[in-house]
Amino acid sequence: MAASRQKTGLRTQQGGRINRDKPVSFTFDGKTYQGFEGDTLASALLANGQHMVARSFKYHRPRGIVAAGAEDPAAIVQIGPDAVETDPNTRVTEQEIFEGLRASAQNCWPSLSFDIGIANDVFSDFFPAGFYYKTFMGPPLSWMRFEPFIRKAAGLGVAPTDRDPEQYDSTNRHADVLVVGAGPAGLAAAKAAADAGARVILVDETNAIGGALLSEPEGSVSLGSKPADVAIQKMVDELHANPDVTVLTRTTAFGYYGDNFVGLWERVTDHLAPTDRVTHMPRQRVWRVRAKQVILATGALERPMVFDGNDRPGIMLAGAVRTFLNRYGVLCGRMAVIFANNDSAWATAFDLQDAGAQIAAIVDIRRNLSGALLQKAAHRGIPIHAGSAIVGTKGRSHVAAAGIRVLDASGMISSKANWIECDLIANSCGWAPNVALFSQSRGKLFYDDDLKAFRPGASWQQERSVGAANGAYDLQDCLDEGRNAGAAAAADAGFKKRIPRVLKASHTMLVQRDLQIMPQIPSPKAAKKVRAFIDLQDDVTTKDIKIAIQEGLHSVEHIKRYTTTGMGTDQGKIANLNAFAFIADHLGKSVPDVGVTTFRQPYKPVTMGALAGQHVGAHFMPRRTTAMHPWHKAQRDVVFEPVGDWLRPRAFLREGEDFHQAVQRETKAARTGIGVLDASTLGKIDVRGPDAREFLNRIYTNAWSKLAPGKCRYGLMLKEDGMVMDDGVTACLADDHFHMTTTTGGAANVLGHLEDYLQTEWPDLKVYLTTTTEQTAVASICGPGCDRLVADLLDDVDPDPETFKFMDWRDAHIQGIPVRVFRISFTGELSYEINIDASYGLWLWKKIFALADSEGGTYDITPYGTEAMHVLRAEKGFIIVGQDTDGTATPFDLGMNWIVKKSGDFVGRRSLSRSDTSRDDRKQLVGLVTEQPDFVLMEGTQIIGSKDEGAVPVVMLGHVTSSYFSPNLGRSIAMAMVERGQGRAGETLYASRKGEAPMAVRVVGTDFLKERSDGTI
Amino acid sequence: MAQSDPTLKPPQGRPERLSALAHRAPLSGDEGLTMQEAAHLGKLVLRLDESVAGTIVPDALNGVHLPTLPCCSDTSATGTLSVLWLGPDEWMIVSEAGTEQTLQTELELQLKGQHFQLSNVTDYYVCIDITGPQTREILMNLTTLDMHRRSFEAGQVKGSILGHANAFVWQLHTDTGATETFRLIVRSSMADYLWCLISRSARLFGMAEETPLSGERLVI
Repeated sequence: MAASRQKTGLRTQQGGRINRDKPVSFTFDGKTYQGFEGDTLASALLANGQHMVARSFKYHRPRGIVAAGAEDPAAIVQIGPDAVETDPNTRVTEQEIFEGLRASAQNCWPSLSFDIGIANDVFSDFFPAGFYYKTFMGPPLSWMRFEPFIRKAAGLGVAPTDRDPEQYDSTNRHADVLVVGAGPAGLAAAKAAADAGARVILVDETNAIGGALLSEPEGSVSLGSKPADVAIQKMVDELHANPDVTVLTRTTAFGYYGDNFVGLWERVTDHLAPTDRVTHMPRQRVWRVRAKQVILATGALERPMVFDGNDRPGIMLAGAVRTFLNRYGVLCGRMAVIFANNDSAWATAFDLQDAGAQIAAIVDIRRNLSGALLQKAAHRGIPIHAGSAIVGTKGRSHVAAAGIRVLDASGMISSKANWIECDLIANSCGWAPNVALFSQSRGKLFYDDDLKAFRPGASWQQERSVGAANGAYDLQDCLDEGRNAGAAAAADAGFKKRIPRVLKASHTMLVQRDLQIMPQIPSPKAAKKVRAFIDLQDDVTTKDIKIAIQEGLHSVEHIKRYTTTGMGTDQGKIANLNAFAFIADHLGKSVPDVGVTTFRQPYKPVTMGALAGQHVGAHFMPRRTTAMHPWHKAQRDVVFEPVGDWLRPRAFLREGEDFHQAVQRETKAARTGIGVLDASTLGKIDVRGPDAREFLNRIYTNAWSKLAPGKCRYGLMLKEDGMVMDDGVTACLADDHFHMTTTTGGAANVLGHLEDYLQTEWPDLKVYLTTTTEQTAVASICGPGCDRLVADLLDDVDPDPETFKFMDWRDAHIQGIPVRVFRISFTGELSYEINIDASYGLWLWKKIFALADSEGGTYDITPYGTEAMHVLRAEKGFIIVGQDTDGTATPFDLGMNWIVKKSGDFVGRRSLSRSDTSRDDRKQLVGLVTEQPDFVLMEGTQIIGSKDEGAVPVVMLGHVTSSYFSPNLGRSIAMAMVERGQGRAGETLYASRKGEAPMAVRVVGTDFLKERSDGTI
Repeated sequence: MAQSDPTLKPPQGRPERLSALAHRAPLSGDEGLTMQEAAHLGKLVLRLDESVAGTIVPDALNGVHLPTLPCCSDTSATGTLSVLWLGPDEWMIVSEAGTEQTLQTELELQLKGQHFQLSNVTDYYVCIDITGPQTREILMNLTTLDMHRRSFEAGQVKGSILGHANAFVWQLHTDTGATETFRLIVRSSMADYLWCLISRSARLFGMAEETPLSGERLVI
């Protein structure tokens, strides 16, 4: 059968925009093929007679190349040399070939020609539309039973096995005018806008500028006085010479977002052989463009005919066949049947014939054909079947024959099938403007009854659609629309209006003229047997859509979801309009009444790596470190902890110690020897102005009116809901000047919170805020007798605790370098915090440790990390905002009534008297000690009221927020939020444990040091 | 303690001052592209009411006005002192290394009686200078600011987020014909991140990519 289907010799003798001097060899599915530079994988495979390149998603039916560009539905393959550098679902119509390219068929096993999954096709009656949903609703466990099989069979392509070794870039651009699509309309627009002085970005998805003109036979079109190719090159050269113009090929505008923000995806090196790829070039690049004006010249997409057996390889879009012929010099077949409802497809017949192919028939469903057209075809000896249709096809992995029947006046079949052998069916159901980006921009579509397609209506953003994307299919119209839009866009972007030069086209191009749409070509077969595909990637047939409608799904969005039509990696670019028309026909509605599904970003899948750009690996996130960090890092065995963006030492392990032992040693040392903590990360805010005190009075729950210069005070900050937001110590530097500290993680939020109040609520307050967090490095020195060490450090201030009192601060110097010393404590122990300009931080730190006995000094100094800090503060019962609080605790809940002033307003005050915040059964912070002193509760443990858990649901009284083993108390300690906790002192409660009996715990105060000295623990 | 790193040796004699990028040597690329730290430049943040700002020219500022035009800066004739507009009531005064304390004292005196705030942020921020014809393009890889020469002129300063780091982008006044220099003013703790991210974004222009310091043990 089909002797004409030859594997070789499908390359034309001349013509095409390929470089015949540069042969390129590549492999597909293990077999080596030859192509030329400029070929896509599709054109090179077609030149070798290879139409079938994939199997479909659901039924594993043979899939061939249908289109010539991004709209191709199912000709997708796996690209790449190995399992790591592999890209699934790459469209063969877009992948350019290079020496050594390796492509393989996907979705088939063991091979493309023999695939086990084809069994799905045989049993396709069992996998109808909505199959998955039905398994959900079927008998119990039905989904559970089917899921493993569905999972195994589902998915397209294979994901890489390891992290992507390629480099990607992302960049930002501002443009006056962004032009998407570099066909005649886009090119004319870009030229007009650039000539007006605008900053222009012109992008095209393919490797060349020219758009549809590249699909015309060479020399058949001239622009001005020059052949199109020459004229285009001249315009491109002029654009390139303009420093304010960026021309990008191989670049897809994948997403049109709000405020004229458009994402572009450039494939920088994907078309190059690995040896030609320069190492510093990214593989791909995402451009984030903010454009004042956008011009969409995205062209039109051809619509296929829907007929029984329309999915065999070798059945292609007529326009694509012409593109392969004229752009790539490839004959898609030697014996072609043209199946059309419009004039443009006839050009395919003429061009194919000129290139040496035989035209077995032109089948046109229209009865009234233009005389000129008929005459031309007759003159060429092409058999014409007017008012006829292809009602079926034959061929296993390639089309071998087309069955043609005459249609009667009512569109029904009225003759016997006339089978014509062929190896190519080039079909066309007319052209539809490519409105995807326009719709993404929120523009309104309207249905054009002449085009039988949707086209752009009112724009929502600063956008213009031109050329075929706007339904203008005539070349001169495209040029004019583009030119006018380019000039207007530049003027709207603020450039002087100028009248651009008119570019006259002369050509013999055939446009589609009047269309006749048949949503589905009738078939003589029983309806059940007809397999007329609408979506070739997702295997959706007209039958599936009928089932969906029968089952009550009438909205186009519902039908899409039920049948999966228009889903997948192609998003139904050529399928959607046929689906809408079929649904409309079946429901007896008009197409505009049925409407369209939503066009969403991205226009086509974009590599994740390109979206991430350079912000990956080591550059993923900043890791903030303090001035002392080099010292920390150089310690023998130090474990760090991320705190906010910061990296802080968590514990300094000594030889032979584990983490727990190190924390115990450090915690002990801070109360027996001298402990030193890097406290540089605390947030610091300078507060200054005549109303600074009043501001603090309103921001903190306590009073600040009487805090004298030289003194510090602890403060608690609430949100408006009365819940604790942050805490810290604030020092009075002068009557109108304060130095506020915040938690490490809360610094940025607190500053935002304060500025918000100053600017929006209290603009009358004269207060300025400036963040000073990183200006100073802070060494917190703690331990009995640490004043002697501090005395040795300071030039000019005596730290004697008798005179330098708790909550005082002093300006001092160390070797002449100014420092500020605060006598504040987060441990309850004698403690000094030395603040020094950060550039001297490491020096100060080294200076402290040079006084250690281990370095020949006289002090027993232990550096301690954040974990020991946590234990030390818990021993003293100090809270950590964010650990002991979770945004639902008031100061009263924390037992901090003392910090809430009796009179005067502050942020959150009113919320404290709400019925919910003032009820007496709230969860309150308490201390817990376990019956077994060495048992450390897990943080988060649930607290219950009885020895055994009892029946579900167990009544939960609260949960543990902090829990440690305290080396200074020789037992475990915990803090917990417990219902009515403050009234439960001495009560025994129980801590739930997984798989074990609850542990008895006793409720105590949160200051465990005090509890010990009181003898309660 | 590891003694291999000279900065970690016990201090001897005079106080040692280290900038946050002291461990990074200047980088260069094609066509004279360079990146280096301008270490220890004095930096003060001044906050003052917009309405008075235009009328005040403290002597300490060497005749430089507080710019009231958004995103502008003014530099003294000697080029040693610049005042950067950061916001309607906020300026940064950038001065030669070591001058910030005297400047702060003088300004405090001269502004006495006004409602103002003056904060020393010399060590808070790090200056990274990038010079070369490709600087704008490199920055476009990281900032959403419009870096076109019509939109970002010499002397202008704009806040932005580069990757995850807040920074001020400031195009220095340069002699006509000289290659453009952009100064990034970034938090010290983010400086190493930004330095490396710029080197990565300048790969196309022949700069060697550097990776941030890392390798800390995080797991117990």
